[in-house]
Amino acid sequence: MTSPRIGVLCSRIRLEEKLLLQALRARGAEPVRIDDDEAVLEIRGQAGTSPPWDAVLDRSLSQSRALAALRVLEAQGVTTVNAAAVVAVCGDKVATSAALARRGLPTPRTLVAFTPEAALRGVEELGYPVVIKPAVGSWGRMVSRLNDRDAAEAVLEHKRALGSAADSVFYVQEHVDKPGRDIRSFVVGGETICAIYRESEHWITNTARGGHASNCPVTAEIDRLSRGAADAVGGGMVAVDLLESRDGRLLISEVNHTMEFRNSIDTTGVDIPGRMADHVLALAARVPAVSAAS
Amino acid sequence: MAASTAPCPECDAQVEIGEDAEVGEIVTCPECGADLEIRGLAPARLEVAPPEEEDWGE
Repeated sequence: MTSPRIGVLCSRIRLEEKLLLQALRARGAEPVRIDDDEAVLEIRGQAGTSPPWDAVLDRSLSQSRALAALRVLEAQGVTTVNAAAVVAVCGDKVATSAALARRGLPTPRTLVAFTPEAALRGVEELGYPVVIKPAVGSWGRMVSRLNDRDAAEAVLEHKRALGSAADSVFYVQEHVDKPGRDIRSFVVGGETICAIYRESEHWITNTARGGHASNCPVTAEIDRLSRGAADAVGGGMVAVDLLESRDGRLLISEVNHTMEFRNSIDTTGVDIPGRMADHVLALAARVPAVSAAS
Repeated sequence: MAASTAPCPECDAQVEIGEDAEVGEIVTCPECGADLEIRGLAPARLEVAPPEEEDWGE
């Protein structure tokens, strides 16, 4: 049997990508790196030809490049993970929130407005403190907690004066008074494989921003919400961020499509890159993953 | 492949490239601190890594 043709779309080889390449090789695949700096992709249909790859794993750091590349590859008949549709939803907080809301999944209360004046009305309706996030963005960039009207007016004025067109979508969210940590769960092929707590002195708990990771046992509720969130955005391999409210509820705050996991392997004892490689190879073989639950 | 070295394009120090290095990996020059991207392995070749872009994330 020939080894499956696996493409790995990437911008940089970070530790995550290195571990994924090693895991794919350990399973008999010969993954080929598709460098998104160098790639020239033709937009064409499948038209009788066999797809150039059995599967492409998207690890591009760039949201816009990933989306474009995956759309072209899918038109060529390539199986992708995550699929372009998943990237489109996860890369846009309005789309993510809408997908979660449609399923009735619990999220912080969120309002969308299109002018600073309307956004300020939304801010005051939710009450302080309140959180404003860019609709497109990651790693906690430009996420602002507003404690009072002065702060709200300042941030909204800065967005109006300095922002791009994308900043004219104001995503205003209830601030969840979480206990100095949030939960990140990892879902692969419909299964919640593990979760971590991300603790931080700062209210932004992203490990990219210095948050500290520790193991979080996957409770039935974490599992239910994680699988629900993954399914709502279109499945695949995603990391789900959950907030614990003071009254004991779990709320879904984000779903990430190019999950970072370097801090979570030793922490949880789960071979995350191995599980991801298994899923990619199962898709490449067109065999549903054994572990996939619907 | 055995570990090798390549010159830092920023300060010309010799930067060690590990045995399990991958093309596209980012290494930091131990002398000047520049972020460098491994562009080739045989022979080892380094370029200054492109800066983080606005739409990067997970």
